[in-house]
Amino acid sequence: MNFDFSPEQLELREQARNFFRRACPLERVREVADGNEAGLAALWKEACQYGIAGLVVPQDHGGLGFSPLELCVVTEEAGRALVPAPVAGPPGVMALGLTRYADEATRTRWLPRLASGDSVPALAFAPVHSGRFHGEPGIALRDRFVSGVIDVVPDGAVADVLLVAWSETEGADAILGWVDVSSAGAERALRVSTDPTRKVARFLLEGSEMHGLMIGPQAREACVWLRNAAAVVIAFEQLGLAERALQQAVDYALVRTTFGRLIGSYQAIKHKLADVLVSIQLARAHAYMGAWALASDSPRLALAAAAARVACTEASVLAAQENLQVHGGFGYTWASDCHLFYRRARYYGAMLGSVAAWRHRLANAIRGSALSGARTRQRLV
Amino acid sequence: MDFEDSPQERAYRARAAAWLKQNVVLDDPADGTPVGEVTAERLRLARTWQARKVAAGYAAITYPKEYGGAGGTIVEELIFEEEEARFRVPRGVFEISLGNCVPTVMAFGDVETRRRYVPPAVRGEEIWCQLFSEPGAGSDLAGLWTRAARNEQGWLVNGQKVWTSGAHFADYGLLLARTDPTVPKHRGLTMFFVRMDTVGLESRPIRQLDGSSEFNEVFFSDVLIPDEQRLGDIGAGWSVAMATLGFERGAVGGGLRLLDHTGLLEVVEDVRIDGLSALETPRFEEQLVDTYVRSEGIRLNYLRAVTELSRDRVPGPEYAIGKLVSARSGQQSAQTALEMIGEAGLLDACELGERWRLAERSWTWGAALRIAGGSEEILKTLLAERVLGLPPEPRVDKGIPFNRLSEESTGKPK
Repeated sequence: MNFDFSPEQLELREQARNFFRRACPLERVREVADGNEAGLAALWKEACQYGIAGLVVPQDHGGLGFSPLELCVVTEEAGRALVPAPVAGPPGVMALGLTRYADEATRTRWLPRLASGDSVPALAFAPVHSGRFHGEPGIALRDRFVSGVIDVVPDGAVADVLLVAWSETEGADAILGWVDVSSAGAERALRVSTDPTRKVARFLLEGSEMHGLMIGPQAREACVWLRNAAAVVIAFEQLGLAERALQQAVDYALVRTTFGRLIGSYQAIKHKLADVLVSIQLARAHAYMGAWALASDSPRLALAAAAARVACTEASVLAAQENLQVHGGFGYTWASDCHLFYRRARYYGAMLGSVAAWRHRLANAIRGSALSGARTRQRLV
Repeated sequence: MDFEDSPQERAYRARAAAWLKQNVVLDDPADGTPVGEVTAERLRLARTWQARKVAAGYAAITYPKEYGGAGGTIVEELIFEEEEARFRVPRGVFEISLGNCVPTVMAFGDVETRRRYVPPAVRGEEIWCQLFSEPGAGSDLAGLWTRAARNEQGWLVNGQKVWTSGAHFADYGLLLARTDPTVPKHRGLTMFFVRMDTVGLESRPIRQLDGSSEFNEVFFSDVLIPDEQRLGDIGAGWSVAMATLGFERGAVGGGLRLLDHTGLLEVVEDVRIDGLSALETPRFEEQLVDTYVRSEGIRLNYLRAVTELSRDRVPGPEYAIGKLVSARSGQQSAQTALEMIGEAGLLDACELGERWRLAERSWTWGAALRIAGGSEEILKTLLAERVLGLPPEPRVDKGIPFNRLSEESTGKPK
């Protein structure tokens, strides 16, 4: 039993934290929020030179060949930095998918370009939710060519390669594959994102080629695994965001005074922030369990990923909300940084299917695993 | 990072599990008293169980052998506790004694004191209780009034303690008393230990909300304590007391034995509401997920703390959230379990049978645990100050000698 990252992994986390502190200060994020994207290309290039996009890309494909554990520690730091581009989590998830499921040609086509930063990835999972806000959903396959609409793709505005993981389609086979956004038949429409630092697009596909195509039960299994993997990896981005939001609130509580005292000396503020701290401490424990389940290919991944997703989403949303609240009226202005956290927490929470869907999945997983565990225990006593 | 046992750990677990199967002493199943009540029979069973564990090297696993321990590792202790938790062994007898008091004796007693008192306590022959809280000093423990005055024979103690778990069956008590009222309150305290049958010491059980009596009031009238029974320096009692409370396993670990997700599922497994399985109702599902995130999160948080200890690091104060989270979660889970059974929830636990036992305990004891060992409000303040570095509240009594404070502000006993 050893429930912590190794000293080398913790050292990597320190390095990543220092890298993002230097290369991606909040002013950089704010620039992007204000529509100035001049610095983005340099940030992207520097992060890729540092190896961040290629952490889990195998070495023979130009990456660092690390395990998902290293991906998770670095991803947490990307979240802490509110990095305004898909430099850590999304390429990590896509590289895991390529390595695990794609044929050699597809791997060779994209893994090196992911690592070098020449390709920008986006994750297009089949929507879990449908209804009047969701447009006409659905894609269909003819031979190796895919047609249809993918309505909301996070990071879709900047991506040139899509991971299309289409598991939950009514009556239709599951589909997994990769689409080159610049290929014939792929049309992109930008959408207005609530987080201007991570932009969203709709894709209209008319006979776009699917690379590394898998269909049927095998693809279904792969899609489920990838969604769980993405939940764990994004949970670490959420964890980093939550801790940074809490730190922002603490920093403000240590300088702002009311009634002649620092606001941080009032129990109303202390208890509010202690609640956030507890929520993060629990989220971290679940995130670590998820990382272990992912890295060790454990059958507990579905349960652990759902718990990490739920705990980290709720912690990051709470931290962002209370950070704004502690800042008072100033927190509601564009000039404060609070909205950057508030928006990003919403962004992470809405992708991959929201916490409402994941709570239901988690309940199913608990009902499944706990009842079988209980029977074992009853026999023993 | 690895959640699985190493080969050695796996072997240790297998040995422990096999030994438990052969040797375990179960709690009296016919006992109709509330779970927390330590009856003569439960005390006898608990002592038998403890003696067997000592003989086999499964008690005080991390203590050196000369103190009755097994000289083992913190991970071995964790593994044994996990395996032991599969059985309904008698509980509630040694938790304070071995969890809080004996570690204090180990940390602050001299060699002679440790050799004399630790082994019989580990063997379960002598039981210790903790004489800290007073009617006027709970959250503000340093405001206590029980006075220990120096004389030729030692220290003469007068005053009253309250909420003392197990005082009615304990042999020794760890006593925090005021030895100098002329200095500010935290600086005038000293830690002692006292035989519970000393002349002038009287304990009276408190009847609790659940009808049982786990807590006591303890009265001191001219109780004489020799100076050899002092732990730590005169005036250093506050830091000794803080160490005692820091040892409290519940502060970091789970281990409160309240309703968790597994228990919640078991309780309502076959319940139906308007024909729908209770397990499938939205109300239950919300609670199940919240309970899981908390109880499993606390278990994993504890494993992280054990990992820190096994790497010779001290877990930071951010790990001390076990009681804060679990007490509330257990109480709330019990409330939801109650809602699932509808009108049957009107009935006393004795009508609802064995399967309801843990839910009932969580409904009552959950309320107590939100207060005991540091109320939620105190614990949140501690987290905010120690982990987040927020400034302390202004204190009207700061730096003022205890005997110069107003009697109302310190809750002087009438």
